[in-house]
Parts: sequence; C-alpha cells; structure tokens
Amino acid sequence: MSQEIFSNPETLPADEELQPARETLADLAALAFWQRLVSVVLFIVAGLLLVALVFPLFVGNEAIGDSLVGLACVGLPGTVLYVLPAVMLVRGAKASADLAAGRGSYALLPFLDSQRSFWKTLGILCAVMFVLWLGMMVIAVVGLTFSMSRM
Amino acid sequence: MSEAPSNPYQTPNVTEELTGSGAPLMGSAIPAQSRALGRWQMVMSIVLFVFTGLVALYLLFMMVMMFGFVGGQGGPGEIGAMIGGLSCGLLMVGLFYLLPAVALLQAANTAKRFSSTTDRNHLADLVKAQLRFWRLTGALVIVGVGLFGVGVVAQLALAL
Repeated sequence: MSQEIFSNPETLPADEELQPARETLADLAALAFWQRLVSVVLFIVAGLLLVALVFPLFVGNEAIGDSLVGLACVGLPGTVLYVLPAVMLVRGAKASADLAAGRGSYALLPFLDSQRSFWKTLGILCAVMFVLWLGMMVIAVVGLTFSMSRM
Repeated sequence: MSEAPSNPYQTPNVTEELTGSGAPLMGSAIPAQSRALGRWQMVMSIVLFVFTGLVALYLLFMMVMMFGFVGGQGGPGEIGAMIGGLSCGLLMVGLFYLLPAVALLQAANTAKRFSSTTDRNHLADLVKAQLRFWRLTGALVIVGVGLFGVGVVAQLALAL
C-alpha cells in the first residue's frame, strides 16, 4: 500500500492508516513533556504575579485602595494572560500524551484540536493586547495634546 | 448512520462522533484542524517576526541617539561599551524571539503540508516540527529563568 493514503479525505479509514510510527510516538511523548514544562512555568509566573500584587495588601505600607486598583487593573488581566494559555497548553500536553500512549488515530483529532485551540487563544490574546495598547496610545496622545493646548 | 441531532444548531460533539463509525467526519476534520493549526501558527510567527523587527529597530534607534549624545565627548571605551550593549541586546532578541519565530514558521508549514497530504510521513514531520518548537521554547524558558535568578542574586548582592 502506498504512503499516499487519502486521495479523497472524506473517505479516510479512521483507525489503521494514521497510526503514528514508533518514532513519532516517542516524539509525541517528548512533546507532551515540553508542553507540560512550559505550562508549569506559566502557572508559576501567574502565581508570582498575583502574590506580588496581593502582598502589599497585607503589608499595609501604602493605601489599600491603590493596591486593590492595581490588582484589578494589572493583576487579573495579567493572570488571565498567563493562566489561560497555561490551561490550554495543559490540554495540549494531555492530548499529545494520549496520542503517544498509542490510542490510535482516534486520538489524532483531539491532538490537532487542542494544539489549534492553544494557538487560537494565543492569537486572540495578542489581538486583544494590541487593541488595548493602541487604545492606551490614543489616550496618551489625546491627553498630551489636550494638556499642551491648555498651557 | 447516526441519528440526526435534535437541535440543528447544536455544536457536534467530536469525541462522541469519533467513537462510532465516524470515519467520514474524521476524514474531513483532520485536514481542516491541521489547516487551522498551520494558519494560527503562521499568524503567531508573523507577530513574532514583526515584534523582533520592532525591538531591533528600537535598539538601533537608541544606539544612534546615544552615539549622537556621547559620540562628541565620549572616549573609545564608552563607544565600545555601547556597541557591546547593543550587540548583547540584539543577540538576546535573536535568541528569544527570532529563533522561536523561525521554528514556529516551520511548524506552521508542516501543519499545512499535512492538511493537504494526510499520511503517516507528513504526520511524523508535523510532530517533529512541533517538538522542535516546544523543545526550543522550553530550553529558552529555562535559560530565561536562569538569567532572572542571576539578576535577582546580583541585585541582592548589590543591595547588601
């Protein structure tokens, strides 16, 4: 049988033909490991970010109101920025591990879906951050122009 | 043939359909998912390339500004330190942004190839390219954490 299996993808024989080779299974296991490692680092960074923002609330050196505003404006969006990709990456790592465990080609679709979801989430987060940055730039320029005109 | 869903607008449950005889659905879904994966990875690699270019331009701009500021009065030592700093900055940008961007572009291309030719060899290429990207990212994360640790220790040593 030739390697070119699916001339018409609608007639894909589901289980046998896309069973990954042994070497690919080893690569998938390694992929799961590295994805899990990066997700753990993302969770740790999110945790540290939250601790750094919550810590002043308990120390009480500065106004609690300022700390709460900082927590709401920087802490929560920052946490989402790290936690959301970390969660998607954990899902991706799990799907990679499932495919590596030899669950056959039925695990291939969840694998591709989880990888795609991760990159889509990252892309949307990037777009949101870009829009926020653009908004802040516009506000800064408008504010500067306004204050210059009043001088 | 499976029973039609009662709600036509309901999102199909992929896992459920795959446990049945769902080969035709899977046949069209695998190339579609792979194509989407390649598309999103391509978008993110372009974002990384643009970001790399902007940071490199910013560093060059800063160097030109500082050169204009120091150039007239500074000795060769100061100018040398400036060029050294810039080279170090560009090296970091290349390491932390350009390399992942290139690896991601390769991963995106293999995902696209797999979507057009869904066979075992292209699946192996796809997994290899994804692994290359994530291994590189993981290694860079370890290097980054190490550099951060060195920075914290140096700050503490300076403070004491």
